[in-house]
Parts: sequence; structure tokens; C-alpha cells
Amino acid sequence: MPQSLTERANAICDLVIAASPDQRDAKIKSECGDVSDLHNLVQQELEIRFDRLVLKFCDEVMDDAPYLQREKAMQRFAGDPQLRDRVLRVVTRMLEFDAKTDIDVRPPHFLPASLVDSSPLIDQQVGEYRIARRIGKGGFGAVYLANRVDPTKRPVAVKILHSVEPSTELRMRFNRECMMLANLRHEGIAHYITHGELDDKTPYLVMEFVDGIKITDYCDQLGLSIRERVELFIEVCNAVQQAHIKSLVHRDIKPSNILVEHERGNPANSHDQPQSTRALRGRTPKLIDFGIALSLDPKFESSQLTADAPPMTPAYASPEQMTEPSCKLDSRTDIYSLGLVLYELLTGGLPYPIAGKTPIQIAAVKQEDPKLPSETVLETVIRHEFDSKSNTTVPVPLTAESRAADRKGRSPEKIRKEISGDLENIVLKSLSTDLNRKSEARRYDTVQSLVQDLKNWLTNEPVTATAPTRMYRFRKFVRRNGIPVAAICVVVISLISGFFVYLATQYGNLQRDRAEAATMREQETQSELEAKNLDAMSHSAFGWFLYYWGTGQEQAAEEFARLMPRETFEYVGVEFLQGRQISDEQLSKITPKGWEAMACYLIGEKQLREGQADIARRWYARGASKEEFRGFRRRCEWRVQHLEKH
Amino acid sequence: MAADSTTIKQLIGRIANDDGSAKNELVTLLYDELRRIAGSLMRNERPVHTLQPTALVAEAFINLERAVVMDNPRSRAYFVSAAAQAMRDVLREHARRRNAQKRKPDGERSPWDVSLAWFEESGLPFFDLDEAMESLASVDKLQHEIVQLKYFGGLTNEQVAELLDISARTVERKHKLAKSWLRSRIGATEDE
Repeated sequence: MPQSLTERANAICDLVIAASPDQRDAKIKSECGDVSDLHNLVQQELEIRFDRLVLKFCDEVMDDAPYLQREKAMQRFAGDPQLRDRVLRVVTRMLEFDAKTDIDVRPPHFLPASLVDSSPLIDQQVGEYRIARRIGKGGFGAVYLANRVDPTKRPVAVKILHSVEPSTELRMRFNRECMMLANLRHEGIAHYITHGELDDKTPYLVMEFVDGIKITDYCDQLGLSIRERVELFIEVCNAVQQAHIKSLVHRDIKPSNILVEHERGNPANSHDQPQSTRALRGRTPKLIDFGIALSLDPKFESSQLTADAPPMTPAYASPEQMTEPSCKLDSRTDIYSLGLVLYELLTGGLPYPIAGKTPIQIAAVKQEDPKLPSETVLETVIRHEFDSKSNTTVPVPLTAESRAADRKGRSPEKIRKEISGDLENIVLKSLSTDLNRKSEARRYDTVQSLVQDLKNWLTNEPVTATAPTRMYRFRKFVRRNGIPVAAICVVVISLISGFFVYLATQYGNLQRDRAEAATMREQETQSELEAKNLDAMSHSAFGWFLYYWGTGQEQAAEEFARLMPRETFEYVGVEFLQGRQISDEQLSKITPKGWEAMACYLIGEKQLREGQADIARRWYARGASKEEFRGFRRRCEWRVQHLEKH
Repeated sequence: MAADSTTIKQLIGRIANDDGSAKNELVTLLYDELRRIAGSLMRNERPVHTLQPTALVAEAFINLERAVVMDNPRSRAYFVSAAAQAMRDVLREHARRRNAQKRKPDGERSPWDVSLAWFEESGLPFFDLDEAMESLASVDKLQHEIVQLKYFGGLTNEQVAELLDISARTVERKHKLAKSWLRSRIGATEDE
């Protein structure tokens, strides 16, 4: 026989794999016949080949969104249950690993670093410091952890250029980094300590050592809320702003260059402080690596250095940074990168699909509109599970083991609600590709304006990123003055009575309206009687408030808002706003009787929902007699007719 | 065979020349060294419970390091790879002995027990992992090597990347793939 057993087995495997899945066993039988050695060999080889196929497929789909991984597996191996099961088993594991961050995979036994790390610098003395181990590697050099050679053994970070003869240009760049860093002092920036040259003229830079983890991991591990994340992020912005004040553009802002020191078991310290302050206080995020920073100060920047495009991180670089020469860049490129970091902090993902793309493709994709953060949040926090009963994929919110659950069990929907609107607009404004200073939709001009908007968001003030319609400001106003709660019908009814009083006074229909209001009060029930006890003054205040608000006199409106009881304001404010998109122009055109029609309708609806059809009908009837405003009068009419029919 | 620098250099030279048996010889040599050090440390009646496997490994290799010239990155890669394999062999040997012994007197907790416990806690019981790794070796050599270096050599992703001259991103990716596969294997046998 010309072929060896192995060769024959291989050939048979080729045939079996090419055959349709349900023919495989038959194929093996027919090809191997009774030769049991061959049979075994084929089985073994097949096993390996299947596993290779499985791994190859999993490798291909690894970067897809979680639900796609499964989806693709189901499609590709639809007619091949044997392989499909294997793939799904591995994909399931992959999803599990996606969901949780492997914090420490290092076993207790490990080979000494001095054996593994190739650097000849380990244990060498650099200036007053002794190199302990390498902690990072960049394009031009590496960063080492070193300890001061004295009893304090103070740890520092030492950046050393590659010891291969560094070119003049690299040296210039390195020197410039040293000078720039020496000029910077901010608690949010890993500070300069000293710099110098080794015996062989290799330049080095000694900096503060930040024993931390990247900001995104930090937030996830501590399960920080959206608010806490924003607060932490503002600190990062402050550090970047300081650099900008010194005419420095960082150009490489990304989570791995923003470190937050994490708790290291130091019992002596941790007992001094209460739990809550230990968790958040004194954890300043630190900006590191000014290796490719750009100075807008001509003193530092020679034309030679600005002309070329330095290495960067495509995923976090601004679109202009990827396409324009350095001399055309300004500090706004950092704002873009900050925007991406914020995006990631809020959603756990990035707005563009960049996996497996070349830098040029990434640059192109960044010209497109980013995916809304509120959409991304649903994708990253919802896992799509294949449901065998319905034969479709169904979204399954991630549970305790998952990455998103680091957000303390808050549902994705809740996070989505929290970030949609203003916070989302702030992120999108930071990511705007529009750099025209006159354009409304442009990116933030300064870090300060970004910070100001974030602070506004924290305090419920209007943000510049959201178009300033009057409705929008009203909404902010309502939120600032109290978050909506379930309202009490009594309050509303009494409120409207007061509202009528106001209208009457204002327009000389005092007598008639009083009489009407009195009639209504007589007709109505116990709850109405209770209403009398409420302060009439506060109710008319609401009328004045609406009037001034509607006519654009916001300051006057605020005065009256203060006189109102909280519940009144919250309820009507919210009811008034819910789902009713009213433009500024329309708002200013509302007549007092138009207000009244609307108010009557809203009250009527509320009553109807609570089963008080009679009371509701009376409110509708009242509204029907007022002036038309956005169809509220007409709606009142319809309701009256409808209720009378039944 | 003595673990002197000449022997090790020769072995590494033979590995570089694709001599299949050389790697095994080097592993055996390192394995003996590890066991010798562990044995002598235990006999010295050090308080055993304070002895972490890390300390043990470090002591074992300190002598070797001096013996080995590690300026050539490829030689280093061969050596570290063999060292990780030796660690795996030592752990297997220990796990077998422990299983055979059934009951052991209190206090005789060896540093290797700490390591075995780590595998257990990571959801990768040693024997299951060891067996699944054998299959992985025939399916994908690179993934096998990455897992070997990480789980038995205790290397970080960056260290593995440097040693194998691939990017840390690739290491992370292949490791994720490999451990998913390993676990699906281990899980599958559990189900049966």
C-alpha cells in the first residue's frame, strides 16, 4: 500500500468533513471498513479538525456584539447540530468572560520577573533610583517602576528611550516631553521629578508613579453610578484643562492613560477613615504619558516635529488628528478624545465599530454620526440569549456576574433613561466633527465649557448642548425644583380653582368666575371641601407663573414659582409637559382662556383615570366653554359628548 | 543532569536546531531543580504555611538564572517555556501523590497545594485542565503555549507577548479563546 495509515486517515478526514453532516458516520464506515486502527485514527484526527473549526469560527465572531456571536453560530451551523453544539458551548464561555473582567488570572506560582523580562535594565541604577520592573511599553521606549535608593524606597516611574542609538529626532521629542512635563503642575497629572542621561547617553525621565488602574475599570470595579462617573470625569477634564492653559495638547487621551489609584490593603490607613470617604475621596484620576503631546507654544515646537504624524491611538484619536497635519490641530482634538472616554464611562462601549479596521477605515467611520450613547448602553448591558422555545433571540439583562452589573444592579433601561437627553447631548457635542466656531452644532471650544455643561447637568441647570427651547428650560426648571412624584388629586383640583380666581382677576370676569367656581364647589364632593384648606394664594401663584412663563418673562415666573407648594408645581408641571410638544412660538401665543381649556382637560383626564366620570365630565364641560388652544377645547367637547352617550 | 550553564546552553542550542528531545531534557532538568529546591526547603523545617509557591519558584530559579545567559530573546523564550512545562510537571506529580495519599496529617500543607487550590478556585481542576491542555496542544500550538506560560509560568499578558514576539492584544484574544475552549471541554465532561 503506497500510503501510510496516517496519510489515509487524513485523506478520509478530508472526505468526511466535505460530506454533509448527516452522512459523516456512514462515510467513515464505508471508507475505513473493518480496519479498526484506521477507524480510531480517523476519529482522533476528526476530533482535532472539528476543534480547529470551532476555534476558527469563534475567533472570527469574537468581536461581534454578544448576541451576534450566537446568531451567527446558529446560522452557520444550522444543519450541523454536532458542530453547532460545540461552538455554542465555547461561545457561551466567551460570553461569560465578556461579562466579567478577569481581575487576576495570575497563579500563586510564577517565574521570577528577572528571568522572564528581557530588559537588561532590571536592577540597574538610574540616577538615584533602582529599576524594579517594566510596567509599560511604548513606541519609543519603556516605562519602569523604580525605587529610590534610600531607606524610603519611594516608588517612581522611569521612562527610558530604547537603548538602541536613539535618533536625533527621538531625542528632541523626548527632551521636549521632559521640558513640557516639568512645566506642568496639577494634582490630576503624574508629575515630573527629574530627567537625565544614562552612562551610554540614553535619556530618561523620572515621574510620579501612579499605582492605579484605568479609569473605566476603576468605575466598573467600584460600581460607580452615572453621577459619580461624571464627577470623576470632571476631574480628568480639569487636568486636561491645566495642560491646555500651558498650551499643551495631550493628543493621546484614552482610558489607559487615565489611572486611578486603587485600594491596596493598607489596614493602618483604612481604619482612619470611614468607609464612604475611603471609597471616593482622594482618588484623583491622573493623566499620564505626554509622549506625543503637542505644544502650541512655538518655544517648544519646532516645525520639524510638527510636520510629521506621530503615532497615536486610532480608536481614541479625533478625526482631524487622523487626517490633518499636526500644525493644524488645536486643543479641541483632546475634547474629542475626552468625549470618547466619557462615552465609554457611561455606556461601556465606543460609538463606532472599529474592531479589525485599519486606521484609515477608522478615520472614515469617525466622520459619520456616532451611535447614540443611549443605544450603545442597551447593547453593552443587554445580552441577547437564544430562546429555544420561540426560536428567536431575546434580550436578557445581564445579571450579577456581568460587567454591567458592576453598576449595582441598575437596569440598562434605567441607565439609558439617565443618560439620554442632556448627558447624551453633552457627549455628542464633544464628539462633533464640526469645528466651525460660528456653527451651533460645533464641538465644545474649550474643556471649560464642557466641564460647565457637566456641572449644569449635575445640578439640573440647562446645558448648552441641548437646544434652548422654552419647553426645555421649563422642564429643567421643574426638575430643579423637585422631581415629579405621584400627585394628589385634591391638590390639582384646588389648584385649578385658584387658577380660575387668577384668570378672573386678570381679565375682569371676576364675578362670573367666582360664581362658577362656587357652583362647582357646591356640586363637588368631599375632596373638594378639603381643597379649601389649601392656601389660595399659592394657587393663584401658579396662574401667574404660567402667565409669565408663557410670555417669556422667566424671572417674574420664578418669583411666583417659589410661592407655590411643591406638589402643586410638580404635578401640574409634569402633567403639562408629558408628551405634549409645544413650541416656543405656540407657548407665547397661549391666551389665559387657552390655558384654562388645557388645564380643565388635564384635570378631567386625571379624574377619568381614577374612575370619577361625573367630576371629569364637569371639568370637560368647563374646558369646552373656553378658548381653543392646541385642540384642548375641542378634546373637552369630544369627551363631554362621549361621556354623555354612555 | 546538572543544571550548569554549559548544559543549559547546549540544550537550548539543540532546541533552536529543532531537536525534539532537547526540550524534554531541559524540562526534566528544570523539573529536578524545582523539586530539589522544594525538598530542601521543606527539610529545613521552615514554617511551611508561610511558604508561598512564588518564593519557592523564585529560589529554584535564582541559581539557574545565574547559570543561563539570557541575552538572546529566542533562547530566553525556549528556557521560559521549558520552565513553565516543568512547573506543570511538578504540579501534576504533586497532585497525583496527594490523591494517592488520601488523608494527610494536618499542617503538612505544601506550597504546591496553594497552587493546586488556585486551579480549583479558578474553575479549572488540575487534572481536567491538564488533560484538556493535551488536546489543545494538538489543535492549536500557539494557544497552548500561551495558556501554558500564563497558567504554569505565571506570566502576564505583556510578558507572554514579549516572549513570543506577538502583540499583547493577540495574547489576550488567544487566551480568551483558549480558556473558553478549555472550559467548554471541562464543562462537557462534567455534564456527561
